[in-house]
Amino acid sequence: MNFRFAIFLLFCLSVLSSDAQYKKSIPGYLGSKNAFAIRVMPNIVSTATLIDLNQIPSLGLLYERAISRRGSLSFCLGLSSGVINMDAYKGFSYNRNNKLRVMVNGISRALEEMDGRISYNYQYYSVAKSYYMLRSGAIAPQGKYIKSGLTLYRYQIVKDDMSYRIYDGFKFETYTNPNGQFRQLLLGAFLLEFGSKRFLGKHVFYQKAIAVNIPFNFWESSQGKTYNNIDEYNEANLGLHFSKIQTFNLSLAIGMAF
Amino acid sequence: MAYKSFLYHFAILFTSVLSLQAQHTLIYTPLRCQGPIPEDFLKLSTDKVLNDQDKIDEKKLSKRERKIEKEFALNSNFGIDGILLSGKVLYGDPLTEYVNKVADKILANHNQIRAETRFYVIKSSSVNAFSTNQGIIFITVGLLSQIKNEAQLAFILCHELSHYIKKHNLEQYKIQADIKDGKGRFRNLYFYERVSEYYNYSKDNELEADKYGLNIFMNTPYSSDAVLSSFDMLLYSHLPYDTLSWNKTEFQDEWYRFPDAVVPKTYKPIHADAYAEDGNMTHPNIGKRKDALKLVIEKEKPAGNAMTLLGEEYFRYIQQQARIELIYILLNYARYEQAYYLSYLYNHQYKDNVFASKIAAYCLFAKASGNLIHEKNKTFNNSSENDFRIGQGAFYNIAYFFDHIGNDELAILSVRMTWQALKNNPEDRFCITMFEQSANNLFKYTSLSLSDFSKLDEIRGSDSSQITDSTQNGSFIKKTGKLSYKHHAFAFMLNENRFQQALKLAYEVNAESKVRESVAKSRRSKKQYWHKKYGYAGNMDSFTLINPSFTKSISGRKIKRDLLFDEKQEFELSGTYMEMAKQNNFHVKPINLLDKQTLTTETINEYAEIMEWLSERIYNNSEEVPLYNSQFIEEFSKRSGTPNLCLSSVNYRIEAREFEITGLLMGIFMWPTMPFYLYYQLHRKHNLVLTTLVFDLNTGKLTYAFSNRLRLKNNKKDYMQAQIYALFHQLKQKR
Repeated sequence: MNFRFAIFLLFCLSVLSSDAQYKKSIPGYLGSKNAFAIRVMPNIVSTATLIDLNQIPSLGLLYERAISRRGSLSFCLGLSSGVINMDAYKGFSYNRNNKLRVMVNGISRALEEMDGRISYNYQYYSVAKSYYMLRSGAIAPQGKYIKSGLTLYRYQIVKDDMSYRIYDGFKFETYTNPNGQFRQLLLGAFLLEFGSKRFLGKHVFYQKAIAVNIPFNFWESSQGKTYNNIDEYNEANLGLHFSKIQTFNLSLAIGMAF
Repeated sequence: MAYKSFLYHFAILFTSVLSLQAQHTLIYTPLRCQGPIPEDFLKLSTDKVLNDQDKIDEKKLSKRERKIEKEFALNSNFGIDGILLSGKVLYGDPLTEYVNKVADKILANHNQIRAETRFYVIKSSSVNAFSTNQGIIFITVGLLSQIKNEAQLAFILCHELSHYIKKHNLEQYKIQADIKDGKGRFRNLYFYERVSEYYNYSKDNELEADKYGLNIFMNTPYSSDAVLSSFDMLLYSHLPYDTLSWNKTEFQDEWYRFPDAVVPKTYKPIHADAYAEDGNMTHPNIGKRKDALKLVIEKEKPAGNAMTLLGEEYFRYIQQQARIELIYILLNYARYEQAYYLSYLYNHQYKDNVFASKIAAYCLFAKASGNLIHEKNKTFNNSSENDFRIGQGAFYNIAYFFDHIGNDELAILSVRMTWQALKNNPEDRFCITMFEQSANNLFKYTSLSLSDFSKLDEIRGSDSSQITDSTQNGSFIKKTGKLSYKHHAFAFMLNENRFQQALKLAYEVNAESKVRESVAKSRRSKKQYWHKKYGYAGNMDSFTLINPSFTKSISGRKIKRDLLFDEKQEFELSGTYMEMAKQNNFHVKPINLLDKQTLTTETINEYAEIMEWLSERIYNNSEEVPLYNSQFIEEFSKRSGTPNLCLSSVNYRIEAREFEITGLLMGIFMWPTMPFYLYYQLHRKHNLVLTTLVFDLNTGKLTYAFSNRLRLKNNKKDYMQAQIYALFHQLKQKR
C-alpha cells in the first residue's frame, strides 16, 4: 500500500507542478478565487437485498482555491458515523468464509449465529485537484469539473452491541464481546469526482457531485480465515464494509466564494 | 427687363459656383445625421412587430393568412430596423432633406400618404431605391449621384410610393410563402414553374408601380421627359455617373512615362442592352418598362414641364454632395480604382481641386501599399481587382492600367501622387503621413535604392526619346539599357529640398529596419510565448463597446430564428457586459442603439463613424496602411477617452447530432451502453460561440481576437457572466 501511495503522490505532485502556473490569468468567478462550502455526503452501498442509503451522511468542510483558469486545489475534512448491519456482517462471514471462534470457559467454540449492530465513526481528509471543463464554459471555480485526488479515512469501532450465539455441545449460549478496546484504523483511497458548481448569486453557490473512491485495499479482505479474537474479526469486517460503502458517494454542498 | 433678368441669373450662377468651389476646397467630412431623431429610430423592433401584429384584422383572414401576415410583420420590421440601425441611414442631412422636399412637392395633394411615409438616404454606392410596407422609403447615395435632374428623382419616388400604396411587399411575401409551401395556384406546379411564376409576378408588380407612379407623377408639375430619361439613367447605372476620357499621360511628365502595355489595345465601348433577357429577374428589362410608359405618356400628354421645383442650383449642390459622398463610400469598401476615377471626374470639373488630389493620392497610395504588402505575404485578395473586366469606356482603361502596372511602378507612382497632394495641402497631417509611408514602402518592399533615381540636372543632357521600354524584357524596372523609366520618376521632385530629404530619410530608415525587424521579431516571439503560457494580457482599462449582438438559431430541416428573443437577449447581454466591466473597474463607453431611452443623434453618428472605419479596415485588409477614416476616428477616440474599440457577439446554435453508427453498434453488442448511446444521440448539441475583437483605433491594428466555442446552454447565466468577466480580466491584465 505504501508503494502505491508513493506513486500516486508523485503523480499528483508532477501534475500540480506542471499545471500550477499554466495560464497566469486567474479570473475566478467574478473575481472570487476561494470557495468555502459545507458538504453533505450520503454513501451508497449495495447489500444483498437493496441499495442502502441508510448510512448517516457525512458532514464536511470544503475549501477550494482556483490556481489557474481551469484548475483548482481543494481540501476537505469531514466526519460521520455508521453501523454495520447484519447483511454486511454475515457477508463477511459466509461469502468470504471467515470464521470466528471465541474462548468460552477455556474452550474455543465456533460462532453459530449473531445479532445486533456494531457502531463506528470516522473522519476523512482529502486533497484533490479539480480540472474545470473550459469547453463547457466553466472557469475555475465554477462549472463542470473532474476532480482527482486522495482521501484518507480514519475510522474506529465505538460500540459493539452484537450478541453472538455459540453452541457448547449441549445448548446455545449468548455471548457478548468482553473487550471493547478497538484500534483506530486508516484507509486511503483514490478519489475521482464528477460534479458541477453553479452560482446563485455573486458569492453563493451550490455544488453537486458524484464521487468514486477506489480504496487502496481494492475491496480485498481476509478469506477463509479463522479469527480467535473478536475485536480483530470485527475490525477486519469493518475494513471491508467501510471500503465498500465509501466507494460511491453523492455529495451536495452549499457555500460561498470570495 | 431681359437684361436685368440676365444679370440676375448671372449673379446667382457666379455666386453659386463660388460657394461650391469654397466648399470643395475644404477637407470633406462625411455626411452625418442631424437634428432630432425620427420616431422610426426610437422604437424597439419588438414593439413595432407587436404593434403591426395587433393591427392584423383576424376576422377577415384565414388561419394561414394570419400566420403569414404575422411572419411578415416580424421579418419586415426587423429587416428595416437592421437597415436603420446599420449606421448607413441618414436623416436631417442635406440629401435627406432634399429628398423629403421633393416628396412634399409630389404629395402636395396627398396629405395622408405624406404623413404615413418617411424618406431616408442610405450611404450605399449601389443605384437603388426601395420602399417598405411600413411607409419607409430608402434612396441610395449612388442613385442621387446618378440622377440628372430633380424630375427624375421625383419619378423614382413616385414609383416607390406606388409600391407602398399598393402594398406590393406584403403581397409578394404572401406569394413567396405560397410558392414555398406549394399552396393556392402553385399547388400543381413544378418548382421551376413556381419560381418562374414568382418572377413574373414580381415583374407585374414593377410594371404596375411604374404605371401608378406615372399617374401620381403626371399630377405634379414635373416634366414627363424625366420619366423616359430616368430609365436611360438606370440602364447605365452600372457605370460611373459620367464618362471622361482617361489616358496614362495623366501620370506622366516629360521624363517619366509608361509603356504601352498598360493601355488596353482596344477601346471597350459603353454598351447596355435595354432588352436584355429578364426571365430570372425581379424587374422587367428597361426596354419593356420604357415602352409601356411611353404609350401612356403619348396618350395622356401630361401638361407638366418643370424639370425642377426646388431650383437648379439646389439640385446641383445636392448632386455634388452625393457624388463626393459616393467617393467616400467607395473608399470605405477599398474600391480604389472606382474612387480614383470619380476623383478624376471631380478634378476635371473643379480644376486643381485640393480634395480631389488628396483622394487620388490616397487611392494610389492605398492600392500600392496593399499590393506591395500582400504580395510579400501572399495573402492579398483584392475584391476590386476584377473591376476592369466589368468596366467600360474610360473606366476600363483605368482598371486595366492598375491591373497591368507593376508593383514597383505603382510604388513610385504612389510617392509622386502623395507628394503632389502634400504640396497642395502642406499642413495636412494625413498628407504628410501618406507621403512618408509611400516613400518608406518604396524602399521597404521593392529592391530599389536611392541611387536608382536621378535628378533633373543629371539627365538633362540625355535624350528622353532614348529611354528604354524595359517592359519588352518582362519588367518595367529591370535595367536592360542605359536608361530606364525609374531613373526619371523623381527628376523634377529631387530638386526640391523637402522631397529629397524625405526620400533620403526613408531610405536610411529602411536600411536600418532589417536590424530593427529582427529585434522586433524576437520580441514578438517572446510575447507570443508569454501569451500562450499565461493567457492574454491586454494592459488596457477602457474601450468603446458597440452593442453586443446575439443570435440564436435552431438547426433542423430549416434554420429557425427567434428575432424577438434575440433582441431581448441583446439587452441582457449588454447589461451583463456593463456589470462585469464595473466589477473589473474597466471603463466602458457603450454605443448602444437599442437603448432608446438615452439614444441621441450623436450616438447614431458615432456608431456610423465606427462602422465606416470598420468597413474600410476590413476591406482594406492591411494593418500597415493608414485608413482614410483614421482622420475622423482620431477625434472620436480623443472624445471617448479610449483608443480601443470592442466588438462582441454571441452566437447560440442548437443542432441535432450526426448519426453515430459506431455508437449504435456498441449499444447493440454491449447492451448496457445503449441508454448512454440513446441519450447522446437524441440530445441536441448546444454551441455558444463568444467572439470578441478589440481594435486599436489609433493604429488600426487588431489587438485582441478571441473566439470561444463552448458546449453551453444560453440559459446558464452564471456561466456567461464568468466568461465575460474573464474576458475583461484578460484585457486588463498586465504582463
